[in-house]
Amino acid sequence: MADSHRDRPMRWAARREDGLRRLSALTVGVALASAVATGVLVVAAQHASDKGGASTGSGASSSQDGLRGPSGAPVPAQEPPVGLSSGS
Amino acid sequence: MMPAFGAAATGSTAPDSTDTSDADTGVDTDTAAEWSALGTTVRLVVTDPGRLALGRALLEAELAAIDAACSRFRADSELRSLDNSGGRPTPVSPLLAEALAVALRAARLTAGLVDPTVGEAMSTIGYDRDFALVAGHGPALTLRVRPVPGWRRVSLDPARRVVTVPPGVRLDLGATAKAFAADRAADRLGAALGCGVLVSLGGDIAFGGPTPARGWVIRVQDTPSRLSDPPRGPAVTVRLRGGGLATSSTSARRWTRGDVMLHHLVDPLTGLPAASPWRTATVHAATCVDANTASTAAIVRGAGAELWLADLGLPARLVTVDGAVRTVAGWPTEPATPPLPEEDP
Repeated sequence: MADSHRDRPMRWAARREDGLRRLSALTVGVALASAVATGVLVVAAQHASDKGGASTGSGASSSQDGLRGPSGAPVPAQEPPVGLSSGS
Repeated sequence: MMPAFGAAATGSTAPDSTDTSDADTGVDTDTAAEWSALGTTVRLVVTDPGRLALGRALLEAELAAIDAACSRFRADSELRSLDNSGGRPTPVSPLLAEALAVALRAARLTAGLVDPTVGEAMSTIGYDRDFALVAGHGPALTLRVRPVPGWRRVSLDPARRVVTVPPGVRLDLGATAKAFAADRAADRLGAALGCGVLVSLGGDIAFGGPTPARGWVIRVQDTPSRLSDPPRGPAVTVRLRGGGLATSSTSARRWTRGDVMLHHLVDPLTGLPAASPWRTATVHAATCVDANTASTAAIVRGAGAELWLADLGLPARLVTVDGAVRTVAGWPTEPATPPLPEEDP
């Protein structure tokens, strides 16, 4: 049967509803993907932390729990020493 | 004798006319004391002579507590009681829980190069009692390559202070306990005494309280000796302003069985003394524990140690088995010195 002016608003409404459903599904999909990606990043960060991430530069550490460097490097001294660090 | 402490405390390099150093030990008796504990030499230095006696009393109490909790050689130690725990979850004291946490952290941060489950391996190679009682020479041993059980098999619940050690696994906290004790004691003494404090336990050094104006002056060398003795092999004197300093060496604590030289730095992968291109590693870090963890791991890691230390940003001094000195991450370079002559343990 030929398209009539009376049917058009109903078809437009149906198309609009269908479009909104698709948009909604897309939004949920994007949100899920984002959550999964965030989870992956968190797990990866935890894994790196467990491995004790390397420090970079004297006194700086890229990990809260890595081996930490001193605030400054040793400098040569001429005075008599007060302490001795040797194999023990 | 030159003053042992006055120079660093005052920033002067001139001899102190009131020096009361002990001629035998190199200890300035006004500001430093030296004695034996934990199977090694303890050295305490303070910037206020009036606080030395109290400082020594506090340090002796600290070390007695550490020994009772962590000794592998005392039958009555808390650590030894874990040998018979049969794999059951066992409550431990706050002190042992902290020492175990430090040891397991060192293992994790070094990918198992510094592993507290080397107790049985240590005994197998002959280090089964206080080192002073280990015979320097003995008959040949039959040793097999066998990895240690591994630190991941030890479970610690730090909140409940409960540890689970599987049957047959024997712990040895020797790689971290002295450094842990030095850090802990230096913090406590610095707060209690209100002056600058240096705590050295067999060369594992930590600082507490206010830093002297010109820092702390420390000699670094391969072999244990008195500060008053001239160093054997390559040595250097450096100034530090805090943190911790530790030296690990295969030149110390070694013994022979048959014609094989053994030492106390065990490679967890083989359960045998590490075969390393380095005989000594000295590391400066934010704490003595971190310094000692890195210096021990450097010896065991071997050829890759220089890059590893540089990547971590830990100033370090490595001595090859031939006596050549290599420095990384800002440790000052030094002139070449003659190699250390071999001698019987």
